[in-house]
Amino acid sequence: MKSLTDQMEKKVKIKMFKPKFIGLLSCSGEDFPGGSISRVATRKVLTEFLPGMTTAICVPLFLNGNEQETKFVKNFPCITIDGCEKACVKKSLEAMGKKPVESINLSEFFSKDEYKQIMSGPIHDLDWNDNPLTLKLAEHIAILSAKHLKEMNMI
Amino acid sequence: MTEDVEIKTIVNVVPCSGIGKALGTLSRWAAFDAVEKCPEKSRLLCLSRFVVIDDEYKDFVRNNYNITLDGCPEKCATKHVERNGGTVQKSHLMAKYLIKNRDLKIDVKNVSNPGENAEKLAKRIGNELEEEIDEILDGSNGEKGEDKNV
Repeated sequence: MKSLTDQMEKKVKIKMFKPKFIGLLSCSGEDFPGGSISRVATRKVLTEFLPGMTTAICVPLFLNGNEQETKFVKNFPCITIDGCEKACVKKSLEAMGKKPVESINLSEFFSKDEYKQIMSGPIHDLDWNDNPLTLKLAEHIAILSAKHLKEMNMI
Repeated sequence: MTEDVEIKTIVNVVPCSGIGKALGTLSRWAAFDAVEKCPEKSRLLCLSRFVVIDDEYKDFVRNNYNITLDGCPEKCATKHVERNGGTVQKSHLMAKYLIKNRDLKIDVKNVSNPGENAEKLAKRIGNELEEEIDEILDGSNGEKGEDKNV
C-alpha cells in the first residue's frame, strides 16, 4: 500500500515538473524590418493562435541574466526566431548550453523574393500586423509549437 | 580621419525590446519616430545584436553618443551599452513618460498595439528625443555629455 502511495506521489511529482509551455525567443531587431515581423508574428502566436500554451522570453532580459527568464529557458523547450543570418537569438541560447527544439531563421524560411520584400519593407510593428508574410510566419511558429506541445501531451 | 569625424556626428538610439511589455513597444515606437525625424544624425541599434557583437558594432557603440530607452527597471538597453564600452548620454525609463503625459493613457495590456494614445505618446517622446539628439551633438564639441535623465 505504501509503495503504491509512493508511486502515486512520484507520478504527481513527474506531472508537476512536466513543461507546460513552449518558450518563444524572438529577434527584436530594432534596426531592420526582419526584427519587427519576427516580433509581431511571435505575439500573434502568443495571443491568437496558442494562448496560454506559449510564452515569450524577453531576450535582452535573459541575456542580462534575469533569474526568472534564465530559469524558464533552462527548464522548458524553446523555439528561436531569428530575423537575419546573424542568428543572435539562437546563438544566445546556445551560449548557455541549451539547444532550441526548433530554430527559425527568416532568411531561410522565406523565399528570396519574400525575404527581399521584408528587408526593404517598413520598420514599424503596426505596418506588419496584417501582412500575409506575418501570418505565414506566425502559422509556422504555431505549427512547430503545437507539434512539441503534442509530444508533451499538452494538446 | 574623415571617417572619424563622420562617426562622431551620430547618436545611437537603443530601445528596449521588451516583447512581453507594452512599454517595450512604446520605447520602440518612440525610437523609430526619433530616428525617422533625424536620420542623418541618429541611428537605431538592435539590442539583441549585442549577443554577437563584432568589432563593427562595438565601434558604433563606443565611438558615438548613446541614448537608451528602457521599458523596465532592469534597464537592459543601458546595461548592454555600458557593458560594451559605450557611454550613455541620456538614459530614459519609459514609465517616466507615462507619468509626464497622463492625458495619453495607453493600453498596457495590449503589447502588440497599445493603442492610438501610445502612437501619439511615441511621437511626443520622439520630439523630445529629437531635441536631445540636437543638444548632444551641438553641445558636445567632441566631449561626451554627462547628464542622465532617468
